[in-house]
Amino acid sequence: MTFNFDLTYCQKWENVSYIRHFVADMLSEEFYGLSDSKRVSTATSELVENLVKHSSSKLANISISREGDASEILLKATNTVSKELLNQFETIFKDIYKGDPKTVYKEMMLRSLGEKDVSQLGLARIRYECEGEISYQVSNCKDNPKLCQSLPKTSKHQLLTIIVKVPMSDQLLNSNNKEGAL
Amino acid sequence: MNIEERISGSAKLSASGDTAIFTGEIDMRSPSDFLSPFFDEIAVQMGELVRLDFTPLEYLNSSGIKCIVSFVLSKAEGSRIIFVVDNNKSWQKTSFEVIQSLDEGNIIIEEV
Repeated sequence: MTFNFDLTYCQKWENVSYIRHFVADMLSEEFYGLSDSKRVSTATSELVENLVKHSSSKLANISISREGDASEILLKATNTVSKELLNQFETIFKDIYKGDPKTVYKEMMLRSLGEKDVSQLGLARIRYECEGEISYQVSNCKDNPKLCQSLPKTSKHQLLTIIVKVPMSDQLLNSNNKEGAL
Repeated sequence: MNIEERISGSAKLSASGDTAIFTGEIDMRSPSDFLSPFFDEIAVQMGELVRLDFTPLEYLNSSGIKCIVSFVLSKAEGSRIIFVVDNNKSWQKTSFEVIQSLDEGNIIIEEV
């Protein structure tokens, strides 16, 4: 089943739970199984939290899609970041790929205790608990001017897109394949 | 334990006997403002064993997980914790197993 949900939204904390609930309902167990639905909605929630906490502008974008019979659901979360925030993100990104997902999640739990206002656990959680494969892209504001419109024209902010591929459960894929064979 | 019930949005914290119960969704921006005072009271009142019942908890954000890790690692020496988790909520099992591994000898996971 192909779908593409794409939302540019205002950076309000309340939107974190609204979007999580919407995604969980959209991928309700009737279509994707409870486990898949929860993993995608949890990953979405952690990404949207990050956007609200760390964005420089008033708007951000989240998209959730699946192409045909693809074995994963693709999440893309885009916001504007300063050079400093981008450097911080790239450091965390490198850290969460320094070991296997469970070991890194445990290490990040311990490391989070030294952080005053943030946990920095979100990406490690997405990788382990949601089984997400994470990557990112950096681009210029001209690729999505709407997200940058609240920033000064002289701003040197860039767009950071975090991409997460959440695999669908084998059981569900097998079931889909059987349906296709019929 | 005799701890006053706390509610914030859809989240509720309560206690009964030796069990602290976490209900609803803990997804606020700073869950430590909500959770830490509750954990402080548990730390004062708990005996050698405390049960933390997460089965009615539908969602916990990563900042909330940090609060639980903090409680687990600051508990009194010799005390033990039982995490009660819902087998049907896979996020509970995966996250709490990792927290358990931080102090395996003193944390038990009870699946229901």
